[in-house]
Amino acid sequence: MPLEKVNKEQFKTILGNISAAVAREKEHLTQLDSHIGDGDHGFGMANGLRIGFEKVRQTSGGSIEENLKTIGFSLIKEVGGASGTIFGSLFLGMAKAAKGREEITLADFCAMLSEGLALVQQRGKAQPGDKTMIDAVHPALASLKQSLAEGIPLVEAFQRAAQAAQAGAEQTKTMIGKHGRAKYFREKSIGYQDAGATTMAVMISTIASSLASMDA
Amino acid sequence: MSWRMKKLINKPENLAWELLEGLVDAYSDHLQMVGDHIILRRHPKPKGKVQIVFGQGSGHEPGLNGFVGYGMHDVEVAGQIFACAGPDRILEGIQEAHRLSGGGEVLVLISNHEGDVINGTAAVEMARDEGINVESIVLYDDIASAPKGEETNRRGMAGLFFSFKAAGALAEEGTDRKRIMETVQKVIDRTRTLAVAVRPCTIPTTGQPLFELADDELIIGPGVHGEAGPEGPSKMMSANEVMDIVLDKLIVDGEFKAGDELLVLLNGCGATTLMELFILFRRLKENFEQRGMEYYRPLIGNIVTTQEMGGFSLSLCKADEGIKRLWDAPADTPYFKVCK
Repeated sequence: MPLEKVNKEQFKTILGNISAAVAREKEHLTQLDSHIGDGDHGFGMANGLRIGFEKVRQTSGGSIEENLKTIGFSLIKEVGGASGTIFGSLFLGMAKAAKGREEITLADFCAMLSEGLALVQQRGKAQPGDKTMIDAVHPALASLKQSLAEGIPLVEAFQRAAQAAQAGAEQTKTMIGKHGRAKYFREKSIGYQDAGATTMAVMISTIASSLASMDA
Repeated sequence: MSWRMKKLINKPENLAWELLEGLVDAYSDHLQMVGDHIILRRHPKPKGKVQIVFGQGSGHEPGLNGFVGYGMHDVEVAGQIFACAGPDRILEGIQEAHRLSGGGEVLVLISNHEGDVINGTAAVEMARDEGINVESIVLYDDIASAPKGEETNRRGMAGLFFSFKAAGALAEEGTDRKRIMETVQKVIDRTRTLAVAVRPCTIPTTGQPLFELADDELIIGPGVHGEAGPEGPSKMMSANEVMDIVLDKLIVDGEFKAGDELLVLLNGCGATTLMELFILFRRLKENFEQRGMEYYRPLIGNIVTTQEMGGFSLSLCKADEGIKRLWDAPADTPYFKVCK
């Protein structure tokens, strides 16, 4: 019987894995950001996630919604800048859609990422193709929705979504920055991969690998 | 390029908080800290006057957390290094301003950078939901960041100092917010800034250079975080040569002309010496004389820095009697004072 859903504890494990994965990729993300950003994206995101997950770990009884909120508010508070609020909004949007959920299915993941993306766009006003984290989360969500429609199991669905997110992040190399500091580089931002999209791809890939190991 | 950071810091995660605590400890006669590292004036202005709130990233000291005080800002919400505070902390700053004004008018000044605009706008929306009487205005001045005609897309740089001074002076006098906002917009419309970088800085949280620049090159038009200018690097040049280029660009963009009287802020980025700034200013004077332009009470020094970046920014603002009066108005902050 393939894995169909994750419970509160499993979801917490996924959040911990995301924090650890971004910390591992910190140097790489910071290096990407140094070309067309201000060179501290990886540091900031890793720090915000670390503080957020530490709080999640300490409050053992937290619901999925509460844990996502804790991470979201920690990113907003500890990272600051555009990226803290944008990634924080993603988690807060996901929390909203996870309200009352004890278990998360593929349909729930779709609803959560949709709500997260909506809040991100409300705050940041970016569209797909603007060379932002949306260019990773948008194709990942589209892939998840397609998998849901086709009845593809959760683990396989996230493996496909991770590939879509990674392809989306790589695709940002061809785009002209429309937001943040990349905007001021105009055509010169072509050739550089967006750090936020890369972080987003790391997050989706981590969900995929976490689910795969739970399925064993 | 080999690079090794040599900075006297403790844990990188804590450095923004530690610098703010040190600043307030040192200038406790001017400043106080409340809540989550929100900086207020030690002696707030009387209730009923407009409270001025500003938030931005840290790492640009003494700008702008060193300019809280009489005749300048009332509330400062500083974020992490080069990253604006999140909306929750800016909201906290607005709530403090609301309390200090006795429920009166609050004005949030926002420097035009993506994070500052997103977070400042979100905080203002949240504050309005709580019934707080707050407005915000986005400030910009850097001619390198967007072409003429697209002024509102330009970044906020050191030239915002003219707006802060005008807003602070008017608020201190008891002017209402609508009038302050009109005047600030007028100052912004007349202000132009262009920067030059000769050496990158290290990002204190990562130890990495903010950007790369060959030993024999400089950049005209970098952002306040060293973002490359539109033209890329040029060969290193003398003080007179670079000042002439910078002035040409500013004067064309600002449409400044003979007979104009200009406020001048010649700002050091961190590692450039006052010696260099005075040599640059000497050329500015010569250049102004040739053009029949005048300057009014110039300000020269490290006002808005980018760590130990080498370089300067030049900000010009076309003055009139009203702007000159506000520039002359008394101010008393830890790092900027104007005597009566």
